[in-house]
Amino acid sequence: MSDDRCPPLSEAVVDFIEGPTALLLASRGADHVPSLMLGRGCRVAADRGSVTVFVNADGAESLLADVEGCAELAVVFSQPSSNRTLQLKGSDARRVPLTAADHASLARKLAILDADLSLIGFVAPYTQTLLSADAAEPVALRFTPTAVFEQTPGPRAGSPLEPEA
Amino acid sequence: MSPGLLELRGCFDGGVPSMIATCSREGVPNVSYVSQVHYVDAQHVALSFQFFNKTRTNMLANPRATVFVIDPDTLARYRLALLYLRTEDSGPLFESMRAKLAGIAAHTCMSEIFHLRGADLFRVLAVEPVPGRQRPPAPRGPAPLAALRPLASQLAGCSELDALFEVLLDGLGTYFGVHHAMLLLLDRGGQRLYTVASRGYAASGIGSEIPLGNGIVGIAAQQATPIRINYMNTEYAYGRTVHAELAAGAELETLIPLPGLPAPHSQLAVPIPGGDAPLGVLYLESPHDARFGHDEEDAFVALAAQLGAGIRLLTLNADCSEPQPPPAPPPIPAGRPLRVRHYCSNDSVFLDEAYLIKGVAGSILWRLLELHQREGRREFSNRELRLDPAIRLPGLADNLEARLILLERRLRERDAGLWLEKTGRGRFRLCLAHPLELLEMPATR
Repeated sequence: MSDDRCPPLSEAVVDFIEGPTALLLASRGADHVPSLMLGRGCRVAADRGSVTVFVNADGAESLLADVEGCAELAVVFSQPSSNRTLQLKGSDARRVPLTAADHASLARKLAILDADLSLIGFVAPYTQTLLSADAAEPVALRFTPTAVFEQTPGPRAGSPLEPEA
Repeated sequence: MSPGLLELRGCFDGGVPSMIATCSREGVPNVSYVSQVHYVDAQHVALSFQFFNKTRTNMLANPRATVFVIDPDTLARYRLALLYLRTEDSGPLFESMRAKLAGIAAHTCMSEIFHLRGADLFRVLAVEPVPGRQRPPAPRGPAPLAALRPLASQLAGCSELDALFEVLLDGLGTYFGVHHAMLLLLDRGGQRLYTVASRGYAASGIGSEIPLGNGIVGIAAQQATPIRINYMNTEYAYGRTVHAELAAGAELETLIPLPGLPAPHSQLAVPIPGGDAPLGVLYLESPHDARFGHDEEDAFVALAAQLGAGIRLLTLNADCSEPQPPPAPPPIPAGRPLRVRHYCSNDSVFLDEAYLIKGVAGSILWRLLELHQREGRREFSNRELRLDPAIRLPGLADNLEARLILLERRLRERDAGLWLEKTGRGRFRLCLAHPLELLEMPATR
């Protein structure tokens, strides 16, 4: 897999995806039927080489089974107030245990996402409700990003993000 | 039991973005937001195609897709398993989605980049509710079906066309709480719609016109499909879309301004069915976002169907008046004559120096005044006008009764001492508060 690996994520990308962004996770089954679920947050490793995303198990049965089967994962990160959107893809996604640091990042994500949504008229506890944030502990999926795509709505959506010089 | 697609329609109004996952031939998943998921029927949805991107490439290679939708009211979540069928780039579905997208684009400050290239049609293979917290639904206005019932009953009781229009517009306010509305009928010969009644505007705009295919009203009539826009946008603003050039080319009525809210946040144009082609359009608008949902659209489509049947029935019955001698009209008072000028080139009529009307309605009025001057007549019937070769009705199907209503209302609004009064079904009287001075202005080259 090392050949597919892209350079570590830039600090700007890490700041963006760990910032006030909503997450969407997709994988696919052996029959290439896609699975899809909202994510609850993410945390980037200190070396910026891997990303851990969190998802409620309840409602993500297909996605988790698909990741288990093919390890393919695509994650979109979108800031509601600006529409800025990035997509990360990886081919080595696997389930990992949740850590104390993960819990802290989950709480932080909820607060900053609610603040961002309030800028465009969505009143808290919108995010708390939408993400069922008081539900059972989420599942953590870790992957090595192999590609980062610009996905802000517009003609450039889908272009690979150029690595920063 | 899985919910039916019909129960999810609240998710498809653009309040919260929907998302789509696809998969390449090689098995790489892709996920993206989608601007619009459009409810087509209980088995189909259409997605807006705006850009050539990975989603599109995947979809063409592998037609299976999964869409995630959120109800903006309750935040209920659903996944739809889809199968791509085809893309439409013209026709009613495309135009309806294009108009709706303009509203969504304006709402999300994306007007510059959101243009519809096509409507991607999908079959819905399965609907799966996603478990999770929800919030209680917000209180809404009157239930559309409960509002429809008394208004439908009232419309069924109307025996005159003008009463039908009045009851309709009054009822929209009383039962549906819709206080800005207009009724436009199609001039089949001229490919335009003319306003015959309205509510909620400083000036009624009766007699104003819009070309077929122009703006939300013109497109709804042309495509014979309802068009609903939930957010304010400039592209489909009712009155701004008629360009001067187009108006001149179509010999459009431009001296009577179109009514309409300067910045409607919600718009709904519903064609009035009339057999082969729509009879006209019922247009509703609101200063509030997302005022009209799918359920309201259903109710107004049903109302428009009843309206269409009513218009056709009352038009057919308009000549059924039994002959009975009307009471003698009051004498015309003496005094300064009202000067009426008629321009033959476009049948425009001026009362003293002020413009009144042109086109078919102008031609009808001038004919009445001529007959009055030549034969002293004040009593007329719809039937004789319909058969009168001097009146240039654009086509056999053109609705003379609606033109008479338009003329009667314009005269009443002008209040110049010249008006029409009904004396029975299919009969009316020319009423005068002054003597007349008629001036025919021949066409000049």
